Amino acid sequence: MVEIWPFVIVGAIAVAAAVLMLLEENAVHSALYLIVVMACISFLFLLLNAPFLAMIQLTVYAGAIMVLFLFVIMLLGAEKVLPADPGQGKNRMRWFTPLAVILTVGLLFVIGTPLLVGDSDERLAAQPMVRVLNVAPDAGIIDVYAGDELIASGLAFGDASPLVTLAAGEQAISIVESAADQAGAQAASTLTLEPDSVQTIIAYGTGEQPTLALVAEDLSSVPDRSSRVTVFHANPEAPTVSFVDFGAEFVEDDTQVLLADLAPGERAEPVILREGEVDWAVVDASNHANVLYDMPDFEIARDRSDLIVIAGQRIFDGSLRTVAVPVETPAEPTFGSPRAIGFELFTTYMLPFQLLAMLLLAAMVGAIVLTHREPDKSRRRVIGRRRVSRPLTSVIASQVGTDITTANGSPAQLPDADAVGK
Amino acid sequence: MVVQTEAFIMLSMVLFVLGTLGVLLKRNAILVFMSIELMLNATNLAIAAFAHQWGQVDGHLFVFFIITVAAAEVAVGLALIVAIFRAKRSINIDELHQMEG
Repeated sequence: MVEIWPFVIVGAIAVAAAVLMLLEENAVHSALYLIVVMACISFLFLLLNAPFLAMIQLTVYAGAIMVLFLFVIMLLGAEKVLPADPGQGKNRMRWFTPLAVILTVGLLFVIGTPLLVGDSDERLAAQPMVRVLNVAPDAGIIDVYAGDELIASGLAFGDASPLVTLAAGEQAISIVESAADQAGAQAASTLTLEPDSVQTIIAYGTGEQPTLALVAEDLSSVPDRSSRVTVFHANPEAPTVSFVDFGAEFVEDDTQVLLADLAPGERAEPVILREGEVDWAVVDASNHANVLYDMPDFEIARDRSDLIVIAGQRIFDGSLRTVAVPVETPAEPTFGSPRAIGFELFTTYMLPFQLLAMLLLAAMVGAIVLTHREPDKSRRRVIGRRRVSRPLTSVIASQVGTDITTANGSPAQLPDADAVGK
Repeated sequence: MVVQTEAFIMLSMVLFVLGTLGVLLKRNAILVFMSIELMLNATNLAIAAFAHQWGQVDGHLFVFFIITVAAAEVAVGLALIVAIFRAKRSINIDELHQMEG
């Protein structure tokens, strides 16, 4: 949320500068006041969690565009524009000023009314995003339906489906063996999806009919150079477990417990961890020497929100072995950051971006075409002819007093000395 | 005390209306053009305020696009003004009532 005093002060400066810009007679001063307005708006962008826009506003608008304005004002010498034809122009346009003011006040009223009568406190909730993770050791390859809609197909053990959007509220989720008819559902369950959430449906448990669990995930932005890790225990055969970090390799007794006493079917609170490699292990909560699954050199990347599911996997002799299945998801970038804007720009807004690039190219060509001046050929030809047409003969002729050039411009024969009489 | 989105919209509205007044009342073509820029800035502020309210980054993209289009528009518009100045030796818009080229 935004504090009121910076907003009031900067807003007042912006309005004052805009009024002064309109009252100022000198166009250069007006341009400088407009720069003040733009700097104020850049500050307001910062208040609105838009640092990238603030940056662009300052560099592109207050910098580049206003420099262009000032340059053209000075180039044309247009600091002051006098009325073209005082008598005639004023008389014809006298009614214009009050009309403009009345129209503008009307505009203010029309825009302002919805602000005063409307209510803007309710925001629409986003639809929930759902994905499915198969960690049921005996289920084989499965398809997953929400009602009649196929939301994931061909999930083998340890596979997670991409996130799909579903309607909020109760959803009948059913799991069938892949390539089998939907009627032969292996497991079905009704799950309630909260609006505006990200949920993972985890199919786990031994036997032909896996259990379905709904795990809410937090994909919101994480601090710099860190990731969020959420752990879910999905192996009912295993005891209550703990997550330990063995620490550095050659240092004794630096083992830390990351998560203690996670019972089957439970989700641990998300933890934020710095990026880097860790030596983790899943151990029996009652006996830390009993390592159930070892995760040496597990890499924590940055800006992710990972889910680690502790599951049971069938191994060759038919017994269950505890494994940890990581599901990697990128965390949402911070709102308004250059990264968030770049992500949107290169995914959703790629086509508009390219159209814009074409528009800029057209503008570039347009600016050249509009200001291009044909070199004045006629004048150059005149200068050229004059140079060529002052040969020695014409100089002599002017001193001698006889026109010695013929009508077609070619030099005539020099007159004889006798004929001239000198 | 916190500022609601309405306050930003109010400010944006006032700046927009000041820009409109400039477009309607100013005689200098460059000042008219600068008033249009002021109006664009006011709409940018409103869009950024809405983006902040809804927590959607799309609004920022629109502001980004508007700034880029404004840059293109300024390039073409100033080129036009320079061309008009060459033809008429003036950029008073009252003298441009005859479209004789």
